Amino acid sequence: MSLETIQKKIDEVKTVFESSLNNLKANIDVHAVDEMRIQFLGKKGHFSSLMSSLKDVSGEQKPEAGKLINDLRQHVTKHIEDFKKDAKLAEINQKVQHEKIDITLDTPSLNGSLHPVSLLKNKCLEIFRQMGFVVGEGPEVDFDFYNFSALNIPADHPARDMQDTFYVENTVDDEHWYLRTHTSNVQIHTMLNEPPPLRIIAPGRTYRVDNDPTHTPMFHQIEGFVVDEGISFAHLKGTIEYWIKALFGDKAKTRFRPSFFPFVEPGAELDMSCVICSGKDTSCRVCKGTGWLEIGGCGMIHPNIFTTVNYNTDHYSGFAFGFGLDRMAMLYYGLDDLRLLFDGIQSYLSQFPIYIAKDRTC
Amino acid sequence: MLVLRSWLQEYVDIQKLSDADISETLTGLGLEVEGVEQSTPTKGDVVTCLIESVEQHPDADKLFVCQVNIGKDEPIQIVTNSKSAKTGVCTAVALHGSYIGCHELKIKKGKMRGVVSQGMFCSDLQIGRGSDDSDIVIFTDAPKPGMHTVEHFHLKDSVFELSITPNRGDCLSYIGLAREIVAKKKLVLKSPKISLDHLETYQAAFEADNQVADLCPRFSLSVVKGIKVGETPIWMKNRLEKSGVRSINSAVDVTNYVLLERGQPIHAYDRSKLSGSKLTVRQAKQDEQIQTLDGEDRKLLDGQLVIANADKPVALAGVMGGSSTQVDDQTIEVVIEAACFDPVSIRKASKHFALHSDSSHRFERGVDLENVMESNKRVVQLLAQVATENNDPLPSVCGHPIDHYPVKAKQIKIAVRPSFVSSVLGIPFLRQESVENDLARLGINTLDKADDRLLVEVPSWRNDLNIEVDIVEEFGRMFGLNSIPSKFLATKSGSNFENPLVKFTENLRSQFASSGFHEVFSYSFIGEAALQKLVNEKSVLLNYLKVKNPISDDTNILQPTLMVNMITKFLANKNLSQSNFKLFEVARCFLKPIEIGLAYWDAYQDSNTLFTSKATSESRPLERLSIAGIVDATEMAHWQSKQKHDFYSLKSDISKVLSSLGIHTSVSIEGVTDTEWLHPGKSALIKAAGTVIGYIGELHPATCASFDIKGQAPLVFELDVQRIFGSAGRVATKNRVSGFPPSRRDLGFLLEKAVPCGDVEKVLTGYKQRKNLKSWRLFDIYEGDNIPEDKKSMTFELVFQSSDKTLKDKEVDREFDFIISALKNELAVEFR
Repeated sequence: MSLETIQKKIDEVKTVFESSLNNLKANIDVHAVDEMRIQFLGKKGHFSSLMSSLKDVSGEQKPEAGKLINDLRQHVTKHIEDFKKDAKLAEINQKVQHEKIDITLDTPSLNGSLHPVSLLKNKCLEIFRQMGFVVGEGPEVDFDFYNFSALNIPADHPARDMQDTFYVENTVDDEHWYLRTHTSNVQIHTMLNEPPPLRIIAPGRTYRVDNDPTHTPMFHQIEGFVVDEGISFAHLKGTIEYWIKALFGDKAKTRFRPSFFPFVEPGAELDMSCVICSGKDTSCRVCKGTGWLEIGGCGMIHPNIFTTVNYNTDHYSGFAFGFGLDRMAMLYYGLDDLRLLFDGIQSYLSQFPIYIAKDRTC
Repeated sequence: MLVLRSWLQEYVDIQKLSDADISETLTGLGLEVEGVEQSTPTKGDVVTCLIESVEQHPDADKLFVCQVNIGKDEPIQIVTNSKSAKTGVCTAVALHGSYIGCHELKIKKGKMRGVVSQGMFCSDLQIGRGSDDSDIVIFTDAPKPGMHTVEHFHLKDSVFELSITPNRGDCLSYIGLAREIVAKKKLVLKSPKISLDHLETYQAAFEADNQVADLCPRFSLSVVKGIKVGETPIWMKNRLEKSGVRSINSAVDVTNYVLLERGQPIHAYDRSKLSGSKLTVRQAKQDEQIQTLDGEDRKLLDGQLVIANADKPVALAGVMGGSSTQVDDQTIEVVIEAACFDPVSIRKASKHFALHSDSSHRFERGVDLENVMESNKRVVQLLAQVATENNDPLPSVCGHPIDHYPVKAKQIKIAVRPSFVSSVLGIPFLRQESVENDLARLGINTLDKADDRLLVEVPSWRNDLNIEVDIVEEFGRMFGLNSIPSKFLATKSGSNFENPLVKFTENLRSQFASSGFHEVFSYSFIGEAALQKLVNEKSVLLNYLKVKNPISDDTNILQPTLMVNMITKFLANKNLSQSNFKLFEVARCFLKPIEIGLAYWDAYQDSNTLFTSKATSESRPLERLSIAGIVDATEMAHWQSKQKHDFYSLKSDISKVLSSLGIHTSVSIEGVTDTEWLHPGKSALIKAAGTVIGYIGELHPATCASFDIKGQAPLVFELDVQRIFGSAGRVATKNRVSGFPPSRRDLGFLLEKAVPCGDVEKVLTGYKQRKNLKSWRLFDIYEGDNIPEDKKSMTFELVFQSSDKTLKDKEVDREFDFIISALKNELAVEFR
């Protein structure tokens, strides 16, 4: 067989292939592709007969004829493979067309939540830990010494009227047991146990005989104190301003005004610019039009306390502050009813996100 | 404390300061202004007017009908009885709808004997300008008709509400406050001149006997004769009432006026009602009684401070006078007492009788010893001014007032270092003079100066200044705390570490929240009755702590367990139609310091490591940190499936949370006896590392009934946080994941119903030849048809896998057979 003859046969196969290719293009189908594969590449297919014709080709023309057949075979194989892939994809696409779910349906998501006061407390702790504070704790039922007298609040002093105290029945001896009226007892417990320098932040439950729309008999305070060499009122201001800005945003302003707390001297009350009206609304319900919100007390730790805990007042000075966490949480989340914080209704409590846009509040 | 602007003006010229300036100044000094209220003597249309014509009333001889120009097009008609109402007179008229404050009079138009009157002419007092109330006011300077008197005569006043901290007793008076404004604003104090020279003196045989000079360091008496007690002049009454003091009569009002002006409590006795001619300061004797001015009969405690006459106490010293000697309309001669009493004694008496008076309030905070006698004289001076009739002779005063003042007040002297002032406040170096000058304005004068040292003298009224740092605060108040620069803390020095339990607890809370639990906060106190619904009479929790002064019976004990609050919160949610919820709380629980030998509650025993305390000898109540939860197990149909929390889902929640924190738990059914509020067949103790850390279970039907829980019983748990923390393990050996194929075998058998699954698992874990059993999964439990009544069928899938080779069937079969025989031997299971 001459090269021409085999060439002709090859061309015939090619023509057949091209035409079935066109047919297939019109209707890609996995089965059609498979049939085509068998028709060309199968045992009895076109290429098998081409290969058997090859043995009739003369010796020196065999390589060339073989190459021609092989080229076409590769061409055909590639096309069939491609078609196979397309056909599979077409089949999948066809299938997913009919697979639709109702994406507006929901599985009930039983999300939990942290209490807003917990969230705010965590935020505060994060800020203070950045400044090198560590959390301190103290008992909630305590003695006169830790809650009052060591804090420079002597018995029979009108300063005791500032905090209406719950008494707990002592079944052991004659000492009075109190529910702590502030977290300041942590100062005494810590200082009696650890030498300076100290940086302590102490959130906790506190108790006072008070029960009206803006006071609950149990509430949360956060106490902070620093004892070190060279601590001044300027450090107190820097620390508190950092905290308030970190919490309420850059625009939050603070104001310190002299006040009296027996365990600090000089003592001050801290006001923060109103987070609701920024001092622009003279009829603001939250700040009563003053533009300022009372946040808590602070000052330089009274030397009498250092004397009580045996700290050297020539070397060390310190500052302390105590703020109401519930009120801060209310300001942070813009709440107007303190009692809801203690009602424990899940659908109310689950509304508080960890992060809120600060600029909205300041 | 209420402060009237116009009264304050008497002692310091504040005309140039607005109300806001005054508020800011006082607040900036630490004298917090909580509010300012505008006050006007009249409200509505009280205007100047010109009388254009006057006619006799047709039906009344004493009435006149006037046509009055009030600056409008038409005149109005006013009927008056004043003879001063003449044509051309300028006066003031109150129109329909206006209000005259001093007489609490609402003006309405009406007819007087048949003639229409559209308002009322006013007196000088009524418009609030002066004190004359005898006739209508006549303006000689002829103001334009129709101007509001309040604006025209500047009659607006303001009342400041101040909150004075307990250290500043000296500011509980007008003069005290004026002193502060004077210091800050660099103004001049205008003290009233006190002189009695214009009064005649007489010899009154009256004495004082101070038997307790240590409790009454100064005691002064004046005696005044010839007073006429009656209505207090309007100007004084007005000042007192706007300052929150009720007017009684002219003599009593004078004493209160001086109290507010100078901060010195005063008491006046009717001389004629005193038996004998001596007042004694002494301590009460047993069984003595007194009726105080408020009409209460009070039994005196042994030792209480009283003022007594010959036979009985006549005043509760410094707190309240007695009614037997009170001054009234008939009083002609009075004894005026100004004294200084021991703050603690006064406080104790005031507390004992629950009697808080303006006097006791000031004595508790300490009064100025040097001000006592001056104040006494001031009372006499004012009595002569206001407690007399116009044409009567002035009263006369006893020529020898008594002033028992044996030990002069100690002058407090304090050495102040300007360098200390700047280092405490954190401000740059201060010049000695600037410190000296600022302090001098507060009356703190420098006696002596040296290098970096001022020796200052504290004024007699400042009992709150005792040490150097007190003076620093005074300088700070003058300097202004807001002028102090802010500084950051330096990098931390030293090392105190945080108790890791703190962070652990934070994580614990977050993990429960992530597992679908809502955190709630409850009061730490609960009702005794509620606890008794929870526990039985043998419970160790009955050793709870009582609150001695609870706000209600619902909060009269400290919680020994969180469970009562959990149930309360559960019910609160149910009542608001919440369902399918999971709640938790982390809080302290409290118990008396007793020995506890029970599996869970003895967690109390290692409780007080929560906070470090060196004083181990103190007997403290036990406090432990607990976490508890409650889960609503109501079934809720849902499009996908039915949603329901149950014992197993709660158990799995807990074990997931704890294992994420490195704690591996197991449950055991032994000894769930001290949690009687749990269903005995559906509850368990939770153990970690061999220690009981808490309990889990369904609430007992009886407990549900006593708390009135209807429907499905909730599931609960309570864990001791420190115990959980204590059982955190080390990181387990990290096994690589085997790449060799696992072999699976199903294991089905019959077993006594009562045998718990845990026993089967114990065998699976513990058979001797165990080598390749990697894990198992219980995929079926069946009870019922085709199975004996006392049996249950269980089917496990066992997974065998080796970490170093592919297991042959023979190896697996051999191990599987060991398991079967172990189960047969130990649990008598039957294979079918």
